[in-house]
Amino acid sequence: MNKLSRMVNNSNVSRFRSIVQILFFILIMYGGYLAIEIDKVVPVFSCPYNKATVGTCYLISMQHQLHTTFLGLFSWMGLTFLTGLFTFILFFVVINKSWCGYICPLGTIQDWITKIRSAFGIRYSRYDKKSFKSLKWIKYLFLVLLIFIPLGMSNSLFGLPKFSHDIGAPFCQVCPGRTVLPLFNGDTSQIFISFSSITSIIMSSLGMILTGLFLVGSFYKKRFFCFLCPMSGLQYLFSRLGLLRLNKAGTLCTKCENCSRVCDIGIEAIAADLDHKFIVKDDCMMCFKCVEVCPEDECLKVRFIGLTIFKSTNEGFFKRYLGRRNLKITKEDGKTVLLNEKQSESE
Amino acid sequence: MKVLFCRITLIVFIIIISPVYIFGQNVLWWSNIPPQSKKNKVITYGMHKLSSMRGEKGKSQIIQWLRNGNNINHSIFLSQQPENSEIILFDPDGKETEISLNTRDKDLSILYTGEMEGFYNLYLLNQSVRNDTLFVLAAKAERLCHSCRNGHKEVHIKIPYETYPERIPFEILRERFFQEDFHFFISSGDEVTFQVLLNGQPVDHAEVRMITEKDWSVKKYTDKNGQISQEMIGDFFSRIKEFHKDELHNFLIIASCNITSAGVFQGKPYEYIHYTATYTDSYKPAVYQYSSFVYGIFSVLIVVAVSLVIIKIYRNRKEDPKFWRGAHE
Repeated sequence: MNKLSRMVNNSNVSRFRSIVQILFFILIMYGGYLAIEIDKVVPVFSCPYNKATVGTCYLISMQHQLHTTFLGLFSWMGLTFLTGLFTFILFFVVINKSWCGYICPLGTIQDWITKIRSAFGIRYSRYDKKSFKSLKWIKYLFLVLLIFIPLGMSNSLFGLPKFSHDIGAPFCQVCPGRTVLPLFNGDTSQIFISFSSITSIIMSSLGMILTGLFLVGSFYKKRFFCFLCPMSGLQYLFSRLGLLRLNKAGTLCTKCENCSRVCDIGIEAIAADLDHKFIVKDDCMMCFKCVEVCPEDECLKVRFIGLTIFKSTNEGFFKRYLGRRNLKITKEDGKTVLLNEKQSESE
Repeated sequence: MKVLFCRITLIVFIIIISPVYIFGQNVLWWSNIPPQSKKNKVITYGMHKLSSMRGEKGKSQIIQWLRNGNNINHSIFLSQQPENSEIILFDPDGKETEISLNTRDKDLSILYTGEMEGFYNLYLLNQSVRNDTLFVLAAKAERLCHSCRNGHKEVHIKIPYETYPERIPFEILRERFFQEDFHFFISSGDEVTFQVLLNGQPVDHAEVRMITEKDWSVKKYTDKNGQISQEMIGDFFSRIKEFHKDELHNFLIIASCNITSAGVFQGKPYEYIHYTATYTDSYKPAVYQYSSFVYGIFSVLIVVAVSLVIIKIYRNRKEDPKFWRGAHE
């Protein structure tokens, strides 16, 4: 068991993550061709506009279920909504926000765009503290809008007239997943501007604008859209129930800030927070890059139903650090020395 | 005397033949369109806007009305079930399921609970013998019950059509489109193929008529596979203000054929059988009439280009603020 644990702690989680992302991308995007079906409450952007998808993103189901009168919502229709929400929570709590880091196809596409940028040698951007604090609320704004707009289509909210039915599922009209994911099946039908009504013109134009911003934003900023994603906000509401947890022992932290530097989202609280044990924030996608780069033994731990499955270790940090830079560690005169490949060969 | 004889013959001809003529020309069909008096009371359910009303426990009940006539807008709504007729409903699993006749209103309507996702097939089967001919009418309504709030499970299983030759001797099927799903609508310009089946087998040279809301009609004959294909026309001439992409336009298909077959029905002998089947559905305006891929892709490209320029300028400013300050000075 110790051997296995050591092997896991020294492993390259990022490479493992890349493989998992590819496999789930193929499953979610093309599994429909094999008649694989999951459910309508998938906690990632498994977009039904992609004809071969295996499930339906919960956000579209939620918007359709909320598109009802208050009378309906507080009767049997409300039961449908609650059942859907409960099933979503059951799906979600198994691997917590790792749905975002390992499974979400839109997140995977963003990671691939990031790799393309790296290949061109273009540096990425990060939000400064002030921008980070103000922009992180956009996801909650999206979440509130996608709850209230469908309600507003069937009910008069605050005395306002009912919203036009042309809005449809409002978030889906502007979500870049709707336009980008079907492209991987050769389907360009979601790239359009609809002139059938003023509302359709506005919603479809917003969709095209967000698609353009998604492509450029993902190129310069790692996981650009995840910062604005309402699914991330919705998941965070239930992340404390998750069976998969990312814990931090604040007393062992030396504030080297490796974790916040390597974080794709740019969460500084991983390093700054020494008080809380459960370190997952609303923007976190539980990719565990922070655990990989933490040099302190058992400072960061990934636990599943109380069992530690991956933790930060000094040995693992150096093995991964050296492996990536083709370096070798050796001792000279009692001192630990780093040698590159050429130096070690000449020796 | 001769004139009187001619008049009497004409009157007798009208009395005897006209019911046959009327029945043969005007047919029974299922309508999703409510009568004028009910239009404000009926709500729509699901993506395909099935007429419905709230039933027990708040579940939506789908309503269909029975009409008689060849004209979609002016056919009469029947007030009672025709004699010698049977109403049958098959659920998306192909099982016969319960319906209820709504007898409260003056217009006859059928109510059923659309609990399952998929196609409900509603039939009215009417048989009667007149002279030496057995008239068999099968009015069919194939209604897709789907709401996105129920998800999209087993779409590939529920999309293909079902036939019930042991119960329905003569019917019209709509051939499914490639990759058709719950969100599919027939659109103007689509070439739709219908197949006519007699006892489960394709019928060659059966007469098929399609009639649209604006009374446009076309008559064709089935081929050896029992099929006809027809391009859906754009049957609306609304001004741009009245145009709506989700507006459904109805059409009626009437198929008929005669066969020589002797028998007895309810004690009455016959030597021929005249089959008639009706099928109603709806279609939408074609997507290309109101949406543009070119505008969409150009919008994306413009946003990408503008964003790249802004980011480039921002980065250059950050790298060399003195240069920019100098440029302003």
